[in-house]
Amino acid sequence: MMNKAAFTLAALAAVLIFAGVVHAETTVTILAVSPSDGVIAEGETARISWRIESDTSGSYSVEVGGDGTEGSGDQVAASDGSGSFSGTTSGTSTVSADNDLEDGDGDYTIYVIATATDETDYATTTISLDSPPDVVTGLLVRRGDNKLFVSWDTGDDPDIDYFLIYYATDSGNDRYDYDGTEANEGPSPVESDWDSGDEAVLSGLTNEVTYYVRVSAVDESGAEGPLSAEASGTPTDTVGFSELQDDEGECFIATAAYGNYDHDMVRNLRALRDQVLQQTTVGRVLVRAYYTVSPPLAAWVSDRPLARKAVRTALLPLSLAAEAEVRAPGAVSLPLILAFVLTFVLVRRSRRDGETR
Amino acid sequence: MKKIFVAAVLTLLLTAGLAQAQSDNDIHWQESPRYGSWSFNIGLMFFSDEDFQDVYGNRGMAFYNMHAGVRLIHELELTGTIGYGFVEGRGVTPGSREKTDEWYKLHIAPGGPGLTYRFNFVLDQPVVPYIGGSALISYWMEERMEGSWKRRSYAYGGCGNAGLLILLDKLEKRASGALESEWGINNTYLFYDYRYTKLDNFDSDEYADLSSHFHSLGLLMEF
Repeated sequence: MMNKAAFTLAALAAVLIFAGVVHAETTVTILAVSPSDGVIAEGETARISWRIESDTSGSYSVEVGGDGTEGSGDQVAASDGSGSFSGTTSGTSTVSADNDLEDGDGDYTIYVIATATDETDYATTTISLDSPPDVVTGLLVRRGDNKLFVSWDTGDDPDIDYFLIYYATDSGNDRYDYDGTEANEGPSPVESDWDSGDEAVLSGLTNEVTYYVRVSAVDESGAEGPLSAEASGTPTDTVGFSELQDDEGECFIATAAYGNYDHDMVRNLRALRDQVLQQTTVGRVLVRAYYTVSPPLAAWVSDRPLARKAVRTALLPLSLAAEAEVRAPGAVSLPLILAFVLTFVLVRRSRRDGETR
Repeated sequence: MKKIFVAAVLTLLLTAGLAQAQSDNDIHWQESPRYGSWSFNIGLMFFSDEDFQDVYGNRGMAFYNMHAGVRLIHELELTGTIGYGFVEGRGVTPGSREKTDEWYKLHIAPGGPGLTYRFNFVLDQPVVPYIGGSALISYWMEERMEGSWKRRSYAYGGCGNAGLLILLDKLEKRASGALESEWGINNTYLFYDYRYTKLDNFDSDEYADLSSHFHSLGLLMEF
């Protein structure tokens, strides 16, 4: 009796379904996407959780692109990208950036398609592939006066927002090794806008100190690419034509005594000349007078080791005083002037006292 | 030197002879009196100072120059000249003078009064040699292309120049006549000019030595 009733009901259902009076529902729902923003980079995967509600059975497939009909897109490569369902079924499918998203950075529509006996339904979600920029190549560091000119190949990635310039006085391997703080542009890493092109300047550095530099690119989403190969440069004291003209007379005697134009002691005297003496009329007269008399003296000194040693000894306090005066104007000159005035006053008073007696 | 002198004399004789032959054959419109001249020339300036060459090289700097002159007597003109040029180059280390990547730019703008004499013997002489000289004062400014470092000053001295004017009126007589009647331009010349400039504050060590040789081509109009 029961079997007959069940058979009758089943047959009725089949007839009704066939007639379209009762419809077997199959719906697909995306429950969650991991990562939640749907953005992955090269080498990463996204996981899509879905549920198929159905009162029948069928097969499902997860496809990239297409129009929602099975086979119209590219089925994802992972084994959980296809299978069968029966009744309400939940599952998770994996989308791989490397295997499934093959057209480079951009948005991809992912279809979860359920195909039952007589109908198909699908749900979609969007996965974005946003790979960090490639490694920056062609890094070149050129030297200037207290500065380095850093340039690189910008490449043709339109997603790059800016570049980061890492610098330090020691060679390094990762970002944290580059801890430079001296540059006027800021501590390492220094941001360089895309708009400023493929070159940046690190100024305010110390001459004759070697700096090590790496560069990375950062894209619109803030993802930073790997560090470039390391390059180094040494800022160097540099002069133009007009400063060379100043140096025509050079520090003749000092250069002859120390045997090197770039000796620290010679530099001190040169700085005194350029930054202190040349700024006043009296100072310029003194400099010109010195240049008039010094060449023959320098020639005489340069050929005599003993004379060179004697001049070096004599110039040492002068050079140190010059350095102090350049660093702190007045540090030496003011005490000297005071001492001179005091001596003058004392001598006059002493003479006056002598005459009175 | 002797060759140059002979060449100069031959040029003078030749141009005078050619001019005479031309003037014998041609019929001229009545030229209005000449009061002065104006010229513009472009050329390459070569600086002789070694310091300059260390920084800016010796390929020659593009230089633009113009002059205006007022006729004094015969072919002698009182002139005023002014020019401008700039050059870029990489700075050097002070001792060893190795190039660094610090770029510099030097602007110079010399100008001053002078005298020019043209060896213009006959009407419509096709080639006119000339010589001249000027007192010059030159404003100069050197700047670093990266950063705010600048240095500026003046250099003074003088220059001597010589050149050849080639009369263009012969090529297009109708245009020449129109220029004469409408603009008062008597003659138009294409010219080559050589100028030696000594701009070193009379050998002072204090400032930049901007002495140079300047070769240029230009256009001169007499009015």
